[in-house]
Amino acid sequence: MTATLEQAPVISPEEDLLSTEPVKAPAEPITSLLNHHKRSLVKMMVSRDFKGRYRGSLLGALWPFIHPVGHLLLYTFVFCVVLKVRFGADGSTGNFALYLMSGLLPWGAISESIARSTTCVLEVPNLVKRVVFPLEVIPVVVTLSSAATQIGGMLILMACAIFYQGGVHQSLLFLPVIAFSQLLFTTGLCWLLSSLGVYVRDMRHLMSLGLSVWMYMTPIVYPASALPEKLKFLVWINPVAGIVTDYRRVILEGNPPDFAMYAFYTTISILFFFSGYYFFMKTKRSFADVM
Amino acid sequence: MISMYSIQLSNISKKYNIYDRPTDRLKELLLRNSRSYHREFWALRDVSFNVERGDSVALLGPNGSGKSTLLQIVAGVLQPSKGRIATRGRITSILELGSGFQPDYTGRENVILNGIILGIPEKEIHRKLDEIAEFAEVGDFFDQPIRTYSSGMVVRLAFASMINVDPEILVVDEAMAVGDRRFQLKCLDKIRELRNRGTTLMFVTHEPNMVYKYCQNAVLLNGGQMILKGSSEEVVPAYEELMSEHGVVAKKVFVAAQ
Repeated sequence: MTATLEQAPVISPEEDLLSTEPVKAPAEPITSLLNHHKRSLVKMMVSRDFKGRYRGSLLGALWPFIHPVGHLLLYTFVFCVVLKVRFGADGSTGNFALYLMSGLLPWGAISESIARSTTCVLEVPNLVKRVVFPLEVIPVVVTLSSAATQIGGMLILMACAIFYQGGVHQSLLFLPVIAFSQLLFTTGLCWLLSSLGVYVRDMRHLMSLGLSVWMYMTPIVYPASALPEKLKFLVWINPVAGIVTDYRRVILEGNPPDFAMYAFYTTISILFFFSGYYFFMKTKRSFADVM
Repeated sequence: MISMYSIQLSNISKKYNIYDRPTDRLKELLLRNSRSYHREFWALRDVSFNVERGDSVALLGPNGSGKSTLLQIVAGVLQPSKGRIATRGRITSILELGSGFQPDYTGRENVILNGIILGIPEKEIHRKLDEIAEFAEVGDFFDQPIRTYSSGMVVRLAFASMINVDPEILVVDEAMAVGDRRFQLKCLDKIRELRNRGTTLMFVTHEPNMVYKYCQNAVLLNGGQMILKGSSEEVVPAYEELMSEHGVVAKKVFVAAQ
């Protein structure tokens, strides 16, 4: 063992040692989310997040089911019984509940992810500052964990649809296609908002207002057809409106998705997905300095 | 060829930009070539040295001299603003008191998460769980959320989970000062065992005795610059002199203030 430390470091023969520019960490392409390391992290954290949410509560695993049913009853009472909004072919209350549910479930997952995304990085300062952690998985965890709740609700919805309509439609096969687009959109938006949330602390207050506005701009408690002609463009510029409408088409009406609209909102989703990732990766370098 | 060096630092500098508002930082990050919104602070300047495989190095220096920043750079948590760093082998680190634990996760979940972060195969993690729980002496609390732990238990678990996964490089900030005497001795025993097995060790301490006992070499930092590196026998006296000098200066300021 030498007594003194060497003076001149030799990092590797081919590197230019006169340069003092820091070696940039290789850019991580979006496909790296599929590698073993990040997948195990996502798997572990999603299951932990899902379990942790209801741990210690009396009703435990029942909550993901009680929640949508509670909302369903509330909204059905307000909008169907009191305000007499009509949905679908026969305009019955049962039908209204189904239409409402098929809108509320995806909206619930999307809005929950978005609401959590603004603080999800701020909530894990230890992972930002104390360890080498691929932070980009955190918004993915948030998205997937909410999506898991949606799956539970969707199963109830199917059961109700069978009960009311006497069966399910073949068009149900399109469900994963729509869900895929929804996941891309939500994940992209969560990347964007979680990063912004670190720098701009007003995000969380802005989002609670923004989400209410967004919900009523989306045909959830009313059918898309009820929108006045002048406001029809809302369905096009708001991917959630397209997603909700298509869920209704495939689950309740037995129609395939509206392909023009599907192509349109999926394009938006893909744009959000890639630009959200790019934005997150670009800004995450100084998270540790800000927090 | 396998390099003889575990850690190589070449002209490492770390600059902090001081912003008045977090939004200024975002502006600067996104709008390139526009006006600058910050002041500069250099926490480290041109620090270069190599650490041989299996060597143990102490970082010495007064508070604010850049020791922790340097450790964070070695651990990979911080990126240097200038200079180059290379580390070879599985590196585990115990930085500050907190470590990377999630307050809401149980001890067990945190150890598993920690293992996945380090890239340890899940089978290996599960095999080591009992060993880690036993070493940390947290008993039934292993399945309770970390936020219910005492600070001593958190540090013990942090130590246990970092030490028991066969690191090739172990980086420890002043955390050793926590835990009772008996646990400290147990950790030191384990660290000695790791060192004998060839783990490279780098840690921050203020205790000259620790340096003599555990480190062949030491590096003395002051004001972000490396002022001396060499064997412990050379560096520790210089450190003590520096500290006494500081003491004298501090005393003078105190008297003047009165």
